[in-house]
Amino acid sequence: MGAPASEGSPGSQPESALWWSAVTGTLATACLGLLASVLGADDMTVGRSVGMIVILTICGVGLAAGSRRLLDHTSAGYGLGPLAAGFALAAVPGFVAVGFYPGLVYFRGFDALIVPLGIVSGGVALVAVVGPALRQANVATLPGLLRARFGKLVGLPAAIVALLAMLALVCVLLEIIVPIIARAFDVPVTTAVLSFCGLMIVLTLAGGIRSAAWTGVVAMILALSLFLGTVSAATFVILGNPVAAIAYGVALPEIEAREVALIEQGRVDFGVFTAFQKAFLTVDMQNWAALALVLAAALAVLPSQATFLQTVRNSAQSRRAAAHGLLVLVVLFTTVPAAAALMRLELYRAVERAERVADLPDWVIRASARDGLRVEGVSLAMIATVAEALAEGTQRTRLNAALGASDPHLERAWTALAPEVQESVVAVAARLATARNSSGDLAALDAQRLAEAVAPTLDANEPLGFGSLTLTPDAFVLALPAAIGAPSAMQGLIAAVVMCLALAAGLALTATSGLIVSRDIVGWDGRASRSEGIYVARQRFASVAVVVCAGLIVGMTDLPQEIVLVGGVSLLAAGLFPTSVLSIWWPRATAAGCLAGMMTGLALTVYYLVGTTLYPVTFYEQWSWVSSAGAEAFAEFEEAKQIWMASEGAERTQAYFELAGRATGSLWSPGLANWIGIAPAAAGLIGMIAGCVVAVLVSLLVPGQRGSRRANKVKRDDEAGVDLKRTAGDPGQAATQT
Amino acid sequence: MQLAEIIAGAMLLAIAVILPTGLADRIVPFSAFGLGTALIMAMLGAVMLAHGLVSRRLAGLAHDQDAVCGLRARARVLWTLFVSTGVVIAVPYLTGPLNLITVAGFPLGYFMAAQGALLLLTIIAFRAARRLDTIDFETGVKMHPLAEEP
Repeated sequence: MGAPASEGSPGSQPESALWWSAVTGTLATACLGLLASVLGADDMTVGRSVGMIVILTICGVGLAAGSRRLLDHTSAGYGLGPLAAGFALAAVPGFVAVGFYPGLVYFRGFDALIVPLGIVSGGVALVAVVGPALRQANVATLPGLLRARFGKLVGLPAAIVALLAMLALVCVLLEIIVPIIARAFDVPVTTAVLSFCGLMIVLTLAGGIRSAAWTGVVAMILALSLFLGTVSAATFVILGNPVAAIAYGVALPEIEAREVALIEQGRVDFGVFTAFQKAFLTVDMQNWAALALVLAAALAVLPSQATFLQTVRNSAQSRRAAAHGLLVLVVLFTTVPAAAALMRLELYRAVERAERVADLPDWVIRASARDGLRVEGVSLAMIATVAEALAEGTQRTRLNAALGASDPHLERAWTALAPEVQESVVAVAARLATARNSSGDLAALDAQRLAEAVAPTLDANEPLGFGSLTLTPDAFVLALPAAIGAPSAMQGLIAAVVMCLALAAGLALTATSGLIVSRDIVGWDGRASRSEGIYVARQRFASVAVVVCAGLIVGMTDLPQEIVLVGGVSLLAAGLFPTSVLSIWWPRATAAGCLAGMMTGLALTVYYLVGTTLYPVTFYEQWSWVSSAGAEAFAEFEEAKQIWMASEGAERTQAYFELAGRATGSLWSPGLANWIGIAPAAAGLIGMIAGCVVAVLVSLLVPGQRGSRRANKVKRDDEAGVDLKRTAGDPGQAATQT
Repeated sequence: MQLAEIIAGAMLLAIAVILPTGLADRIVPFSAFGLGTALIMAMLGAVMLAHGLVSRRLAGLAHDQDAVCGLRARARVLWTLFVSTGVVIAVPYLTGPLNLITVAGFPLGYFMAAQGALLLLTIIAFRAARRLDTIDFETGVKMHPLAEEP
């Protein structure tokens, strides 16, 4: 037996020291934040400084977990322990829970509850199937497991699918976190992308999976203490109840009563308004369940999750780690939506109290100054950016570019404004620019300036409507402390916690991607003649390449975030889930069956996604017999088609748009072009079911391939020099042999 | 008996596959079958089929204790996945009726989607982990084929 894994690797910090530094670092930053709050540090500079200290803490722990050993880079030295592995495992879904989910609940109400149900259900599959299997088989990645059992024929496509899906998820993560960093720390978007990617690269280089795991541990401790603390404080301030999970239920009747009052007063715009409690407004019942299942399947086979579950000593610990991670997630997911409910309630109250823009409460103005909240599409941050651009001599026609350089979201909001509002904003900004003080600083922005800027769109005789106020989803978490009147120091702290979670999630995804590239795509030969350093270098290079690719994609392209997210999740659900689960659970699964299942699932998913979104007319014509639309809809479609065929010139184009409009739905809700009413975003479900059926049928029909399983195992054992049976429960031995 | 269960399960599954295509509407005079009905029938069919197959296999393997334990572990995993899938599917379909009841401010359907189902799934996960650990510990048999082989 080698040295016990819990003692850490030679030359690196032991696990106990990392635990202590994680806990004390969190406590120290929490105390610092509270001290700043108590001292009334309302200056944003203090908030940013506190935020920077939190980020430095997590980076410190990540660097301390650094190591040059191969086993640390691939499996964190098998020394993580079930609790730490559970925390690390929860980092990716934890970021979803804190950085993305509250905004989704605020905007979609009940329909957003798909996310926690899908993720937690996927966690159950991790506990029961995927996690222990990796540990038992002693492989580092999920594609590696498939490769070990079926050879390269299945392992390579699985690795490519996993890599593409994780790259998509890293891109989405960057899209979400970059605006938050830019707003919280008042830096341009490019600087935010570069600094975040830079941190990811440094920490991945330091310790690979070990650094990613310990960063995740600290991030989750921060989220559980600071973020939940803030939500609890908010529920106490607003509702007098510090238990957020219960306060959530208490807030619901109040929200409903206020919604009814606002509707009766005619102060909501039904074009954009969604009632908070009303179910299935954006997604129907069937697609609600389908999307939750797709999300569950994707999380169950997300390679980073599986990789963290093999950082413990045996399969029992692996199950316990997954269960602990699940428990932590459930705590977050049951508590965090309270923040969204409270924000709705506070905004309703603000609209009720304020008849005019100038009467809006201070927290709305503070949130608007960070572009967290817009009134009629205009925020104080937008006015300030325009004023700065004008002060620097930018011409009126080049304001778009100036806003885009500062924040692409601002540019989009600016472009969407009516020309008279743009003129009004420019007029207010020009006055601000000319009234700068001697050191060149702009005068303080207040509600009056906002009221002047949006004056052309608001009727002076009508009271302010709820539809006039738009909370920007990416800045939702920044607006929460402002809503409860917390000092600016808390805003910096909360932004830092979200950034830490994003960093941990990004590290988990990129470190695992590096592992997959270096082990499952480029190939792992395990030759004794090569030193560990070569494999570590290869993994480091691959991780850096993934970060750079994601950074370039986000920085240079303008991909729609939700399509990238749906693409990544569908790839995992349709491509990896059936194959992985069958390979673990079913001894009779064969290489041919798994490959056929994977390809069928992927092909069907891509076909359905592309067909229903890009070619809906052709799709509906081909598959009208399985569409959920009835005969009446078909007759109307045929009528529109006849009109299109009969018309010519510009009318023909118009007629085609009308025809396509009938067949096309949204990503979340199907149009006429569908199979049994499945929305394009849930295409993964079709691929999943088809992949499973095909894999089972082909495995039964091609029994000769089953014999290859043992041959592959023997080959792999020879190559890697690892006796699976002997080392399955003995990490120390695995460490020495690898 | 086991054979009858297998046949009944397979038939239910087949009907569940046919239902969404709309073919049943041509045979049955009323079209009351939605995807929900099909899913419920598919799940019922899958349970019957799986139970029948496992029972039949267990009866045939009575002399081989290792194989019986491996099968028990696989059956436990299947059951866990089945129950968690069932919870995910049931939550949206039961939201309407459950919302008629209010508990601690929450409409019950809303509570189930936001908190109740999550707690239920966590209990299922812990229970599954414990059972599978017990099977591992008692028998030393690993579920994964790579770990099973000598």
